Amino acid sequence: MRRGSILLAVLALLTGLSASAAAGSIGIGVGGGLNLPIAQEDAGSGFLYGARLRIGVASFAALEPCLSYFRQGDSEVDLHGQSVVLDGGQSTALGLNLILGSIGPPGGMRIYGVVGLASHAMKQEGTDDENRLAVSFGPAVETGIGPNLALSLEARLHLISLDGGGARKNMGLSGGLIYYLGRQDR
Amino acid sequence: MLSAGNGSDFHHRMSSSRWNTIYKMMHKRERLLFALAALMILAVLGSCTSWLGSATLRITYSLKNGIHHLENEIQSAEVDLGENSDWQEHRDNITGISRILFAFWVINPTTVDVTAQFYISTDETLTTAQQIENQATLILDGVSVPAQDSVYVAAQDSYQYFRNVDELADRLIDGRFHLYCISSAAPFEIEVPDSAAFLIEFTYAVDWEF
Repeated sequence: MRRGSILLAVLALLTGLSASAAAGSIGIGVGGGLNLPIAQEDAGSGFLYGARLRIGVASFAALEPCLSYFRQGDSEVDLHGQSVVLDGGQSTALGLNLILGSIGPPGGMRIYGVVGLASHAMKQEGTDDENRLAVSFGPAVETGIGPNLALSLEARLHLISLDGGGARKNMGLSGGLIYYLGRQDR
Repeated sequence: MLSAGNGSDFHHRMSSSRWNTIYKMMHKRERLLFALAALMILAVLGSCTSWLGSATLRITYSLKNGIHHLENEIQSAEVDLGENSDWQEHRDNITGISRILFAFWVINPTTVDVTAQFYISTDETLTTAQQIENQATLILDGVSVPAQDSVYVAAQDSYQYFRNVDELADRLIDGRFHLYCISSAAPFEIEVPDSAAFLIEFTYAVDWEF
């Protein structure tokens, strides 16, 4: 709760800015990639995909409401000489990302950091469905491939909190396209 | 005396100067906010260090002996997770159990259909079905076994039969208990061979030692 309040305060401050070219820019993005569990024996490699709306709020910052789907690969366990396949689980996440760094209309190579806060609706066979808070962060690069279109690549660590403590850790390696609305002045 | 053109330049310079000042102020404000945002994000991420320093492991624990419920005899099995080296290594740092599954055969040698019930207790001296029902904790219920037949419940199918999962998780974290199986109906005869096994997935805090 306290963490969420702090992040919301940051976002509220940032939304007060609107004096740069990047501020006010709006982009719509889709993407997908690999979802790699880290230090988790209960899941294998899976995939993720999602959509985002990027809203520039300052020369260095943008906000990104996003909806993503995470699928964790099934895992195998040997039981009395027989292989048993167990569901790795899946989650649908509704979140808000904060983009910090070089943002703006499609141009040369842009590098920025992504910090996200999300609510994951988690499902896994053998457990109760639950909603968990998640934090994510990582670097990303973006390059223009058209007047309004950019290609982005990101490597983001997703930490999905668990009941009792600890977290599921997934490294998301993904790529996507972002289409910026309107005429883009570089 | 200023000409009209000069006056326009003057106003233009004034206007430009004002915007420059505002731009510089905004630039300074943005820098300040950038630093503030970065600090706050660091604080948020810093508070997630316990999330970073955790891992999920899975262990398998097979019962050493079978359990049964006969009309005049009840045989329980001891579950001692301390026998598992992974559990033993991390037991003091376990933060939670995320999934429990149980694979087992149930044999019904009687001529009537029965339902198997599994209970756990730290007390190994329970000798009657009534004592078990009153003093132990029900953890699995509803496994129907036809007369003179057997049923295998696979690990991935076992979750639907679990009851009181939180209490089972607490007992597992304690590490040691006794498992009982009783039949729901006369003539009270049911067997679970020693192939029964628990699959337990747990999360533990990584002990950072350099």
